[in-house]
Amino acid sequence: MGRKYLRPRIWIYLALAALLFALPWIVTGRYGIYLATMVGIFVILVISLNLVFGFTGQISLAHGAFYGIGAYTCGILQVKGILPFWPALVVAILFTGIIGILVGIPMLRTRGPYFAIGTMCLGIIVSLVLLNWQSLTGGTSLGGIAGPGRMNIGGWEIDFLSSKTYYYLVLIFDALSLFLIYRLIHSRIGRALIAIREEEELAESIGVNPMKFKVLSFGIAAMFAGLGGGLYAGYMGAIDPDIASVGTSFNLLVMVLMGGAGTIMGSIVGPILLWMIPEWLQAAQQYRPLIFGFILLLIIIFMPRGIVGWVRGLHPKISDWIP
Amino acid sequence: MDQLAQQLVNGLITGSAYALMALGLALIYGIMHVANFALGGVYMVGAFLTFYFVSWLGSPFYLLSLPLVMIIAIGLGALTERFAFRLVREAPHATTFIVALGLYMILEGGSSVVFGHEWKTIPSPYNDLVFKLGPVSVTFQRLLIFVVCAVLSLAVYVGIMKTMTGKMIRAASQNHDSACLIGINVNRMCLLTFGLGSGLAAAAGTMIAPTFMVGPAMGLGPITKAFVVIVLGGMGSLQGAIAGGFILGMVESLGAGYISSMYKDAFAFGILIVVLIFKPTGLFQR
Amino acid sequence: MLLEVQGLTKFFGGLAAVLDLDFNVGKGEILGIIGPNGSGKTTLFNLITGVHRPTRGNILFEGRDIGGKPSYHIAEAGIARTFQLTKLFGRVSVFTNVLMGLHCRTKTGLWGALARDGGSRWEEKESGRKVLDILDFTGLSGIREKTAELLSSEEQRRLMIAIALATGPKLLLLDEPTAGMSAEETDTVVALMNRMHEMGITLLLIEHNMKMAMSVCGRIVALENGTKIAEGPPAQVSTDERVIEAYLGKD
Repeated sequence: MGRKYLRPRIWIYLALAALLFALPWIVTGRYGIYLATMVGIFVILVISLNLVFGFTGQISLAHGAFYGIGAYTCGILQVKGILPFWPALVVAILFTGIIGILVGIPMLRTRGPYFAIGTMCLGIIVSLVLLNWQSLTGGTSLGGIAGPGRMNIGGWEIDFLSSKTYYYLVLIFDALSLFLIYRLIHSRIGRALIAIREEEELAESIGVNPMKFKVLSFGIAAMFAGLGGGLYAGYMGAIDPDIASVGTSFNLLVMVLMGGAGTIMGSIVGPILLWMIPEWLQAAQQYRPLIFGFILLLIIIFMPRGIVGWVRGLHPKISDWIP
Repeated sequence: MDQLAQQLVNGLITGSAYALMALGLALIYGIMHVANFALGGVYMVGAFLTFYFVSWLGSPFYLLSLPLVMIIAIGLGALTERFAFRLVREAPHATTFIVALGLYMILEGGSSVVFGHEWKTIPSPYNDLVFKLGPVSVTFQRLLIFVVCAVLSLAVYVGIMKTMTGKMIRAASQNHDSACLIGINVNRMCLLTFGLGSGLAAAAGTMIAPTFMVGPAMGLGPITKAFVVIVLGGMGSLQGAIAGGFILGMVESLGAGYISSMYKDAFAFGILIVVLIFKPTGLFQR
Repeated sequence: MLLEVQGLTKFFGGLAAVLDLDFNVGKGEILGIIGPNGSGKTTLFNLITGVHRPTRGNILFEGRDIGGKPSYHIAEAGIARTFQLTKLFGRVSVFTNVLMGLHCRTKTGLWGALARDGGSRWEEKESGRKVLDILDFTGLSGIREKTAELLSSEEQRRLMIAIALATGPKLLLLDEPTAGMSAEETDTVVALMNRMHEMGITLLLIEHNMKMAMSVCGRIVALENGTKIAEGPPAQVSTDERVIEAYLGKD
């Protein structure tokens, strides 16, 4: 474990980063950029779900709900003319995080399937509220979200209405999110989370307060989900309650598991694959749930560590290269 | 007062369906320790099979679909055990739950592909026949729901408690390893349990289908509510599942009538969250 | 008195696992707890470390009541334990296992984790150093990169002790640390226990192996059916009638 291993690794990451930045010129067409942007947003969602599920071991099906809360908070604040995009985004992140903590405190006292069902119930309640509280949420759809629009930063004109520019915005937030969560995982806190996941009783006997760390990871994850939601709202300009559905939470879980629960690269691989597979199969949108269900089943039975997890397991040195 | 009676009766009726579904879930959870979320998909499949049955043969044959649907569902349940759950039998509960989720997604996704996205209605001859008992009016269909669900629940409950097979199944649940040692064919018990649980879920779907719209996602709400019921009634407790189902039905009905019908579905879930806050392992310790 | 157990009682349903237990542990001793299977030894440990709440009675550590407090609190207070059935963080390395144990003696929080400021970087380095020290002390340095679940049973037991040591305990509870070990392996563990004793750690030991208990412990408390039937120096307890009966009768 010395500096000499860093050199080739850093070149690989730089190459990947360059590829990502050059993407809008490689991939032509609006649909391609749309896919890339959505993958980018989902990377934020997946890595935060990975924090709760992959690293702390709690099966959360509330992530879609937090995504929706973030999107709607950001959207409603703009539509009602209360705040422009950027402050609305910050509020969305904080608000979703607070909800995450408030909900997490009671819910995280439960385990396993109990917790999963509880989070699912939360998701259903959020969907219902978003659909029915029409005066606040516009019912079946909330439109007219201005988004970041055009901005003048230090003399430079940035047009966020351009999908290329928005893609880069999402990319920057991706880098930030990955960086922060990477730091978190490779710290005393991350070790405590992993301890809880692996052997909660042992973790507690060495001084780890399980509730404190479960709630912490749940709240942080919720904040990132809120970020993803806000970015989505700014991107699409119009949102509907479907994004907060349990279906979204299921899809996110599939992405985490397929990419690799408990790995950071897996949080990138998962969304890429699961957005791309339907494209490659040229499958119509309606086949998605079926395909995802099969993938989930196959992964959990035959490759529970996911693709990246499996690759990492092949040889100890590989773990150094792929976080 | 009149409204109250009507609400209570409605509650009993939906409650009977919840009870049936929860019973299927409790059977599988109590015996196999699997939180089988896939039953939501089986429920939906039952409703769809009924829809097609009635479409092909005509609505007078509606009741005939029930035994057929149940048989198919039992087979389906056994298949899920043999080819999915058995592969993860030794795995932690989290894994088996995710397997169940995957199965649910396959069932919902599959039916979406095969049957299409739009909600369909099942014409039942019994929907139009209305009984009036004092201030309460009930369609024959809804009466049927109650009768069928209640009878099935009781039959299965008695069967599990009293018959030899039932006792073997319960022995297998008390202690998997000992039962193996005694020579009880654990595999067969597993197939039976999953099959039976699935049969019950599909029956619930068949009965409810004509009063509701049929669509691929119709099972999500009911299965989640069934989980609420078994958490409240005691995970794995058969009596708790039946009683809890009826109670939930009535609470929901009263809530819809007196508080808000838009948020009807939220009551069950709100109750669950509240209960889990105070008793993280459910109302009854197993 | 480092640890005082007063009238400790624990009922599971109608069954008394521990009944009116009274004894003390002085600073720096090695106290052995012996008794046939089911006499309440592990339940006692569980009560001390917060896994169970006492039904009645007090547990005082350094004069403060710790009965019913959560396990993580008790670890912070300075009591660590090993488990009868090996509990480890199986999928990570030996080094990381011991590093986990340092949790309650370190304090890098969210800010430190994200910002990697001077303080948290220093703490990481210090922690790494301490882990190496502990690995040395317990003889695990050679295998520090190995995945914990791949270790031999004896190495795993030593690792459990290493993790417990990392929490910087004043009192260490060892639950049958040499069960199923060969004579040679037992000697290694005994040597380790003596080294810990020399460092000033008080040891409370559950031991099934009478011979080993007698050679290592300064005092012994004998349990049967959750109650204390004898207490005193090893020579005295091993010849106590009730103790002999309890063992002969059961085993």
